[in-house]
Amino acid sequence: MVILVLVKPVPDPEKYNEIQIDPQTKRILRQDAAAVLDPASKCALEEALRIKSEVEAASGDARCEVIALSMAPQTNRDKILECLAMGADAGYLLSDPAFGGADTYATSYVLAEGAKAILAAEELDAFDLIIAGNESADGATSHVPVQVAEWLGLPHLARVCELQIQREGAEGQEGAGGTPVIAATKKTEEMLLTFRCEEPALVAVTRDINKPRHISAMGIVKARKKPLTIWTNDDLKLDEAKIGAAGSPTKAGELMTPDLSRGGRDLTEEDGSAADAAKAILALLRKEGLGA
Amino acid sequence: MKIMIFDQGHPVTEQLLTKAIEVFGTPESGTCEIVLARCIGKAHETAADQLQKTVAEERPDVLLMGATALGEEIAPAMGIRLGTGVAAHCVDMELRYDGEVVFLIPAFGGRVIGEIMIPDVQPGRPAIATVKPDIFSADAALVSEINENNRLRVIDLEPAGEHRGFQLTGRQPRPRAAVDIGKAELILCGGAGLGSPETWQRLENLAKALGGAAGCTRPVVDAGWGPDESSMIGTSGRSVRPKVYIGFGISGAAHHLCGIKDADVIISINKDKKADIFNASDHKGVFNAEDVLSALEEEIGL
Repeated sequence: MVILVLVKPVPDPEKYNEIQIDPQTKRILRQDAAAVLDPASKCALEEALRIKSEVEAASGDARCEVIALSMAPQTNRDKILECLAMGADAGYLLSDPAFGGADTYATSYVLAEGAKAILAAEELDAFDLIIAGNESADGATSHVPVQVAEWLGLPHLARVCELQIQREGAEGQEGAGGTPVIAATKKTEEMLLTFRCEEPALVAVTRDINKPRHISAMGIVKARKKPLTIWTNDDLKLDEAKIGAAGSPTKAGELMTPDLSRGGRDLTEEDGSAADAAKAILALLRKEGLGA
Repeated sequence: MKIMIFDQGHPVTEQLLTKAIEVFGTPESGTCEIVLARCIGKAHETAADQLQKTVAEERPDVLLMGATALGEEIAPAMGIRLGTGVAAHCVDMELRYDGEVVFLIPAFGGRVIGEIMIPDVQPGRPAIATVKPDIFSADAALVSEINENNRLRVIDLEPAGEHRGFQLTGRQPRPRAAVDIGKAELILCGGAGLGSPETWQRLENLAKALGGAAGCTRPVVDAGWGPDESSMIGTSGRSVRPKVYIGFGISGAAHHLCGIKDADVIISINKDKKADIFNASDHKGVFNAEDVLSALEEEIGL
């Protein structure tokens, strides 16, 4: 079994309040926030690693390979190393200035073509499963996983909060040797919907699906010996009209930071107590006709 | 200009319809036609196939849908199938004089709002945009008048043929909060500064006693103190517009502030006097959140 995990480096979500826009150029003024592996990407990888250990525990000679794939500048090589240190078996980073400035359409195209190139390089017919984080912390569109699946012609399911690989025998009974089937639970506004799908398919997982493992010292040592491949467009040879800004149907205009300031008056006098604050809060509630 | 709204039987449809009329004009204005593509209670697995067929027949210039669990699965798929751009989670849209539609979308948790244009739009290759529920308000009187007088054309999507891929095998309702935070007039919201699941429980009880709803931030969900993402307020959770919002132990990350900006009154309690939420509040108190919770419990006799 081979699982492909789509991962994304993002500027550290703890630092988004510090982002400023240049009033003249209307672009982001300085973005020196260190990149981190997106929290949802980590959940996607954790889910793949859990399935890997289950598959390999079920049978002595069963193997499950987990491959991490990302499109990002080369400075993010350490984020792929982080994936390898968590337990991925191989990593691929698609990195070329020509990929830059891409919207979700052009990004998902490059990732899908990268996935095909990995299949060719690893001499595989197909990935059994592709897992991605449902929504990244920075852009948070939730589009890329679905769009990668559409480019690859695969079934997709987003907002997955539970995932299992089941084995179905010839009569639909579960058993160790049967056809692997993806069983997934999707959370909608009001319902929990369960689905099944034969492999291959793509699922996008939400952050409540698991708690990603921490990296061990041994993991870091092992990661250095694992294959990490960086491909540019010299390797992928994609039409420049279909990638980067040129391949993006959406165009970005001006950026702004909304002014949310409201003044922030103190609830109490300078030396007021928590009890004074509570009284002030209840008074404000009464003024609005609320409270007990 | 033809505007198609994907109607999935969710209140967001009325919110989109109200906004579309405001931006593009009434159905009779001569400049715009609004049609609803309706897919309610049937074959959601094939909704993308059905909508793709209807877009090919109707050739809209703009396709709008709610960023619900279904909409977020269909909108990006339509983008690839139709070869067009998708603006995610619009917070506003406008029609410029030259006929170009501009969508405003949040990034970095709402810290940044950016304009998105989809220039190469043609009939049948529409600009696509999704909008989260409760970002726009529905004009109930306008919507019911339009429905009563059949002023809108409604296309019922035909269930498509055999479906390959994910097959629905079961459904169960999710447990519901006593008071939906989307409709609550009073919200008590807890953040990491609550410190423990017990304190979160006390905040929930206090909210109930005051006739309000309890909301939370991302760290509370991640810590597993109890609430799930349906109680999470922010750009990746719910947007709320209560009369009064009270934040306890919340630092004020951009994505949370973006979800509470439409509250009439924002009150916040945090022991860190430099907390970002203070500037975005009408009233602030530099206190340990638990101390103020205790004082409130005492005041109302809880």
